[in-house]
Amino acid sequence: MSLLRVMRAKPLGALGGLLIVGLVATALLAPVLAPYDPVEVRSSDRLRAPSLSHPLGTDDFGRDILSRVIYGARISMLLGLGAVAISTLLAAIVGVLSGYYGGRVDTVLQRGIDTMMAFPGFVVLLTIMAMLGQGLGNVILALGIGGTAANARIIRSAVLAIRENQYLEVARATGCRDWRIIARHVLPNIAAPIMVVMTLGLGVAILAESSLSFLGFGVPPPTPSWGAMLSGSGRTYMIQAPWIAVFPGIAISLAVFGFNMLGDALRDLLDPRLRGGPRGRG
Amino acid sequence: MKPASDLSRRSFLQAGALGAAGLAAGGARIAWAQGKTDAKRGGTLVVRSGPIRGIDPHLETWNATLQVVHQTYNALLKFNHDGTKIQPDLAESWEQKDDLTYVFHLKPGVKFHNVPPVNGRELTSEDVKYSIERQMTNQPGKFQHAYFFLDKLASIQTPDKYTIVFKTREPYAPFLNYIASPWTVIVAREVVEKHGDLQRHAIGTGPFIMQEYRRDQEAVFVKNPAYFKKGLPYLDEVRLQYVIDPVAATAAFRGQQTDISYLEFADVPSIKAAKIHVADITTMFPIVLRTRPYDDQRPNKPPFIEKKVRQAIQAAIRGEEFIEVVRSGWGITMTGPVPTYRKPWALPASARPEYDLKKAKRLLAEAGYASGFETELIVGSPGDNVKSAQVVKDQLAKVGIQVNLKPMEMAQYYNKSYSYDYSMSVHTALTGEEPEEAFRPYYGANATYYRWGNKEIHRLIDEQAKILDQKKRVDMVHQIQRLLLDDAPNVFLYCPIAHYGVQPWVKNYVVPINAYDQRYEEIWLDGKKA
Amino acid sequence: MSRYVLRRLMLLVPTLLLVTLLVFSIIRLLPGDIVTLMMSEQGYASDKAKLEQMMGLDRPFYRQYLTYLGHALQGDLGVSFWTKEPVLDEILRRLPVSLELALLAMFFGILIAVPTGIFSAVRQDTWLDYLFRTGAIGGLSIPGFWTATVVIVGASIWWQWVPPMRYTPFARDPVKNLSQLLLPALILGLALSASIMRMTRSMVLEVLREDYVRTAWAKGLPESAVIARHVLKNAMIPVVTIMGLQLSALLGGTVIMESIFVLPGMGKFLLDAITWRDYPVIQGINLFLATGIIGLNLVIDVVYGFLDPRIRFG
Repeated sequence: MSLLRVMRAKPLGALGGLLIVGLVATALLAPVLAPYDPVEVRSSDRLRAPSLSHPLGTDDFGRDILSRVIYGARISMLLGLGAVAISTLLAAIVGVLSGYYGGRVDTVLQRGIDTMMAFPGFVVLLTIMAMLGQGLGNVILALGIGGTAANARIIRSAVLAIRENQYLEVARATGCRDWRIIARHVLPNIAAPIMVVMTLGLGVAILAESSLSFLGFGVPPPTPSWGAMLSGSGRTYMIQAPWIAVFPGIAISLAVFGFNMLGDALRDLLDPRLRGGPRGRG
Repeated sequence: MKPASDLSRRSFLQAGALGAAGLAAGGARIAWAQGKTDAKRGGTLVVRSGPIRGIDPHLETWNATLQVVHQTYNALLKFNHDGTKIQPDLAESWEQKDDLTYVFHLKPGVKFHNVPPVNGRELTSEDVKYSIERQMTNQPGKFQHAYFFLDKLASIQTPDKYTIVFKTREPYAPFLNYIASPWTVIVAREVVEKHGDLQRHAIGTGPFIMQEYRRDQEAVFVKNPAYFKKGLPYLDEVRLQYVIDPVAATAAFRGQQTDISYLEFADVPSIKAAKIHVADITTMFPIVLRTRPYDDQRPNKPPFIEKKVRQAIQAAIRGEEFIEVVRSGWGITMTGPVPTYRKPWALPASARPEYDLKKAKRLLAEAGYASGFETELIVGSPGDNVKSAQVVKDQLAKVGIQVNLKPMEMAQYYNKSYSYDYSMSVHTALTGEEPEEAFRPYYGANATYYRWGNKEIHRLIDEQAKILDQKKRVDMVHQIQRLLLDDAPNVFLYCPIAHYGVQPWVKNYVVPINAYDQRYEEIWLDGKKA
Repeated sequence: MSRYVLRRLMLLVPTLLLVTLLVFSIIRLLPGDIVTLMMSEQGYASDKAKLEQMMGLDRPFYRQYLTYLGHALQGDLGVSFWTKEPVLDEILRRLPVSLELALLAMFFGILIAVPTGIFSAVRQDTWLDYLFRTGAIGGLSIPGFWTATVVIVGASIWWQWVPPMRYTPFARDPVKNLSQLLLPALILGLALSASIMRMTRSMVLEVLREDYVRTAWAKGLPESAVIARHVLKNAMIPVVTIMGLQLSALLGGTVIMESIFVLPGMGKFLLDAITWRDYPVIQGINLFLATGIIGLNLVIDVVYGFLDPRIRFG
């Protein structure tokens, strides 16, 4: 299936994909794209409305919003990728072991998952942030750990669905080692739900960071994170200088939108059960 | 026999454009003096409250506590709204008999609220003695303002039901200011004996009786029918509404749900444009950049052990930039620990350390840090101080000092702050009507908020409290401040200007300079929609 | 079935124990212990040991834990370190607020999500589908605190009106109560609806492909009847599961709405307790929430079992 055909079949997903490509490109090319230094304080340039020299205006420290939004893409990507990597890795370990071995292993691990899920997500985040203190790395860790439990459940059910498959039984019957079976048969088949989970998780991480910022636990200044810009000076100067909040807000929305659309499209494409409606297309 | 002392008038506004509060002060007072006959009775006043942990006036330090305390308690004396005069409250007259003796005469017939376990009994001198003694108790988990009187009083005598005689150990200049402090209120021992502390119960002699208290939501008070100031209060009810989110709080004020409210400076222009009165008050809480504290138990460390390093930092800091960036111009610069509006105690503008980057670099080089150094700065988050910290980082970078910011949540920040374990921090300091409040708890011998081991400064701080002659005392207070500027443990960044919105139907209220003063007994409402 | 339920109930106990132990240990690992905090906030204190003794923190860990457990089993969750109020009382006072907010949010979420999810699935890959999905994702792409801020500030400037910032229990004045809670519930519900809608949509899609549905089609049953009779029931099963997940996420996650709309709920209570290291409150809330959530999950699993016969005998 050519890429173009896929994109035409799933226009929303294509749009999402384009947005994400744009996001990644911005993040990678930030030093080239950004016209100003995002953290330098320039008190003579405070609160300027968008103009030619500052297309998106300046904030209360005199920093260029465009540059901060561009560098913010880096922070968002780091956050998202880091958090998702951690949570997917942990969730995969737990989910695969739980689903594959079943029995007592499953019961014990499930109790663990239950315990983790007994804490509302936010509580986990706050507690971890309180333990570790502020900092980009700590936020990534907190978001990663916080997202593990739910993802573990999802991965576990995916593994369970596969376990019933015949060829797994055959593999075991012929004496294949467990880890081999997992690597060769289980993992590739759960790759699809994992990819979907990861893509959606990226959007969740970005949103969660902005909520943490609002409560005072996010990425510390002067790092330009979209969430901090939106919940900090953006809110304070909402009436006087709305551009401080509007542009990071749009950035967050576009990024989350993009990840979600992409994730949806991936799910639709990769899950054979979901392709086409009752009238039986594809 | 000396008359009640009169603090010298001080100007509290630097820029002429901020004269609104001054005008309002004059105008409102004349209205009241002209007659209480146009006072309307009844109604509920809703005031925005801040976060409270407890309402025991002897244990707490945050001004939201006083919002509750000042409705239900009285003090012997109190300050007028700009802190320039001491006025009678429970004491109808007082005199200083000699250098060590002060006599207070209570108004007879003052009754506590008719609420168990006090049940409306009369206030006597024994209650005053009990309250002051409680305030200066030095016990764990307790008293913030003990330093007012602890180890300074020789005795408190109550020769009769309405007379109290205080004898100090040595001449103690701050005595009357501390008696008139918003924190020195008179409580009832029965409540303490029954509940252990006053954190959740407020039964005093005040104009309002506490009806409901829900700590992180609201406190509701109703009029005290037996209040000793005849004719007061005018209001039927006072409600303190706690709204934590500043944006929501301003919206509540705009939506006419609060009558008096602290406002964020970013919202002030639009509220003033709607013709609502906003008082601009230069606060008593300066923002300070602190370097490493030290005392006998905790010696100082490089690089801050070098005086030249500290002086370099002082020379590299430009106060005006903080005011511009963090407060959009709403602030005043400082000349020392005592805020500039508190004349004559504050140093003159000429004493202000100069902003001189060349001098800063030279001093650093002389101290052996020609290529600068790296250090860590802690600050409590969230809040304006995080912004100030960013400006510090930016400014010090220009002389090669790399500051790593470490914002931390308040609990951890206080922990580090009070274990005196940090290299640099941005901190909100406290001051008061009494000038030594700005330096004794910080640089004195038994300081609590900070530790500075300079013994000469300790000695001078001890000495200045003993000088009753104001002119001589002012000289010594100036000397202390000059020493502090030279030794430069801290850099005094700026004093923020805060804004309080007052709805047009709130009458006879002048927003006091001291944010700790929260007395509403003389307010009446005219034209508020139900 | 009953064996399954019994087994799950038995597993409840060790899980709860694990939860309490976890909370107990973690909060004591938080930097900035409460004793120093109390001392620093209250100036002159010099006797750390006495303060520790007063709060029972000088005893060895296991003794503290066992004492706590013992009291908890009798319904005594201790008193707050800062306010000296009994923890259970404060929780019970705040629970109805959070619960009402969470339930209203779920209500709005479902109200928006289920119909749009069904439409979206039935008209898959048409412009209606795209519109609904864009709308749903749009709803969750904007952080809730921002929507709330814009609404409140806008209303205050244009109409001089804000939702009441004083909580009135529903029983006392339903109108006032709802006028305060409606807006935050709507905003939360909007964010929720995206995931519920997505789930509904995929489940409906899956069911629509099932043979028995195709048979119904072939027999000439009108679309609405097909949906009503066959699709809904089976599609709802996983939706119920996700609702359970969301509810538990909601209960702790209403902090932001509580802060902005001045609601005395559990979220803000917990945040304050963490900020001020109020150990008994943190433990009490976590225990309470954990019990509630685990119980809720159990109920949902049982309901799931009833609805899906394949699980019943699994």
